[in-house]
Amino acid sequence: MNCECDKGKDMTSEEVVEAGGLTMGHGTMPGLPSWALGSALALVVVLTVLSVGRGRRWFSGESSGLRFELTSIKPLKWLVSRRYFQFMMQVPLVIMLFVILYAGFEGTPVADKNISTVLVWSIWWTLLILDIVLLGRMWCLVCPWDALASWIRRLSFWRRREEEPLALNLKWPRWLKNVYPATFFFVGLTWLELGWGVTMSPHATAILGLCMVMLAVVPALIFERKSFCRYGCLIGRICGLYSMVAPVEVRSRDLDVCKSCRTKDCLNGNDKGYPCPTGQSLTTMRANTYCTVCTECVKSCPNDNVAINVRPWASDLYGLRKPRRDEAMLALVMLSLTSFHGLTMTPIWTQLINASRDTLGLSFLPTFSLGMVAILLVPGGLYLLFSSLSNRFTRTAKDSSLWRVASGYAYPLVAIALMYHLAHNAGHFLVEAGVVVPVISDPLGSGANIFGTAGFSPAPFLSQEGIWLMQLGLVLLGHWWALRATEWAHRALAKVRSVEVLPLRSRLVTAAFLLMVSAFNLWLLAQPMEMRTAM
Amino acid sequence: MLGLGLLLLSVIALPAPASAHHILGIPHYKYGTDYPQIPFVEVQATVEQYDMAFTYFPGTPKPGEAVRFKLYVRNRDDATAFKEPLTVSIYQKTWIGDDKLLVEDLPITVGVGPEGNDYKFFYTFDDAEAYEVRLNFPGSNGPEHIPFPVGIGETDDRPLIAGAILLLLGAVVSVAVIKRRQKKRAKQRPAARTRVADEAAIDGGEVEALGSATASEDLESRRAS
Repeated sequence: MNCECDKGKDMTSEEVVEAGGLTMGHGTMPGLPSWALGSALALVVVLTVLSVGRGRRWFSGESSGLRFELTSIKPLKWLVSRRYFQFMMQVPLVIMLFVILYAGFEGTPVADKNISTVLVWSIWWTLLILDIVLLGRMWCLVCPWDALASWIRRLSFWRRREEEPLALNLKWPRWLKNVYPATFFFVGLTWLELGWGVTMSPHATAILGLCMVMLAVVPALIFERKSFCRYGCLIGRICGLYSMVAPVEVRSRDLDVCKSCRTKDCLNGNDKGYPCPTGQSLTTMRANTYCTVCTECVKSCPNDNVAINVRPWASDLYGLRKPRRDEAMLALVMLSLTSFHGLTMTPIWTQLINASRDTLGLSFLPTFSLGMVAILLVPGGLYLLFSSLSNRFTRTAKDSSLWRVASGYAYPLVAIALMYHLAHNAGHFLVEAGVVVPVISDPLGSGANIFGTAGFSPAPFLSQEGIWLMQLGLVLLGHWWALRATEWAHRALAKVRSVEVLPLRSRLVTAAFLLMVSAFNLWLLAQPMEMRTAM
Repeated sequence: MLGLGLLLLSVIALPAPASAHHILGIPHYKYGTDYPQIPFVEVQATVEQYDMAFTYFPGTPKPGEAVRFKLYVRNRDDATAFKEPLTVSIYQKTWIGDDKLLVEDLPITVGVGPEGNDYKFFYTFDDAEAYEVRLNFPGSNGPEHIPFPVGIGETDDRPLIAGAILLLLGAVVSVAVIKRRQKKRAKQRPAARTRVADEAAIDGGEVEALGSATASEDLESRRAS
């Protein structure tokens, strides 16, 4: 062992600290104060009670049908109709992907000094959620991994080729035709992020980015259309389910025109556009879930019947016709993991893990993994319990399927998960995102100062009170949308079970679950959160 | 209904105090290469009212090279330096299972003179691995163990990147070869069909009866017979 005390007289780290190294608020971000938590809980309770009581009419759970067609703006329609439109949108992201890979492999290992970790975890991962809430599935339009996969598969950047020269077009295995692969990858990424700490390692971030390249390109070469995007891409599927809440959609302008269309060029493609990469036909598409906004249908429709619309938020949740079990499962996993994400940043989680480690005699990672499994199972188990109660109160001789109840009521949870996710991430983003300014000037952390901002010390974008109010507003909005979507689910279930109105006790059960989830999320926001460079 | 709501409200909205506990912040890093100073890594953490700066030199230490560690602990409330004797333990990180203990409870003390507020010590790591120096700090609710990560050596990513590129190229080439064969076969099929038709015509058989899907199979069976 080579260890000794040093009595040298060189630099002092005291100077670094005094100079502001520790005065940037590193450490923790305070949670909601008690008054805010109390008020928000009161509002959540009032909303919930109203939704099952006399105020039910305010939660009619029907889409307003209000739309504004973005493609009625001629320059926008012209741009979207160009074959190079998607290419033009993807190129900057592909360049950024290569910068991230290079910086991750070659730059400093220090997370908040390397552009790869800052861009991926502090900026992109947060803006992705904001993008869904404001723009819907725009990420899939610009996705750099899909860009690489498409370019290689088609051997063309944007030109429509009659045949894709590097596509075997094999059928995606039948047993994988669901979103379970994406759910598995999502759980895996969360484990890597929170357990293994990939967010704190530029090197691991770059490896992850490279793995995503492989995951996107190799299946694109082997399977028909873009099966990986449809079934396997964790980002695409999370965005897909979340984008049911989004205010942007691609739909047919006139459904009757689609019904009378014999060629279904949106689905099958023609000389102007490729077939829909996820196998969607505008005649039957009712939700954003599998649309990647690639705009191929805008190009290929011979009847000029495809519109990109702005619509009220959560519209897809109010018109859901065929709930799917795999999507419901993903919704539950998303709900659990978004809350889990917040929980792992509270001191309670640290204490829980430390206590478990002492009890079980395990190191951090196995203990964390066990904790994560528990967090995944507990909300799922509770949900099944509530669903089975609801099923007991509503079942008829004609239909008594528990899965029908469990699948139908899972979709409203997407609104709660999305808005909590945004509230949590926005809190971090508004405080920490400024770190990108010095990093842009010194992307590799090598002491460069390209734009003269390497020494910039970031300040929060918004005051703490402002952040709290925004977080409360977001959680309440999510709860409101969930209650409305639940009302739709009630009606759908009543229709299936041939009853006029579902019994009150069934409504109470589902409302109680939503209340419990929102209350837990508010409680999480009231906890002091550990800050991290990469969120 | 309203009564039920109020009851729920009174139960749930009684806010449990969400007061802050002492928090161990996830360490934050700083890598400095300003000339003429040698590169260093600084890791910062916060425990209760204490701010800590943990620094090591050089910033990218190699195996077998002595690494110099410095720690400065400041009480945020009164801006004084913490000077009580402390101990550190050094661990080698492992992917799965317990980290390997290298040094347990090594006593560290502050220096003298102008450097009198810094704790300093050396350690030489033998392997290029990820390590952790855990500071044992007396918190108000018992000892706190603050992990400071230390990376020794640089990883060589060339095999990984080359492997990924090779895999991609392999996939592209394999698909290209398979597609070429498929095309070749597809070209042969019409030719086979033509031959079957010719043979059928010679035999005076019904060409249509063969059906296009079974044409090549039929040709094979005829050849076999």
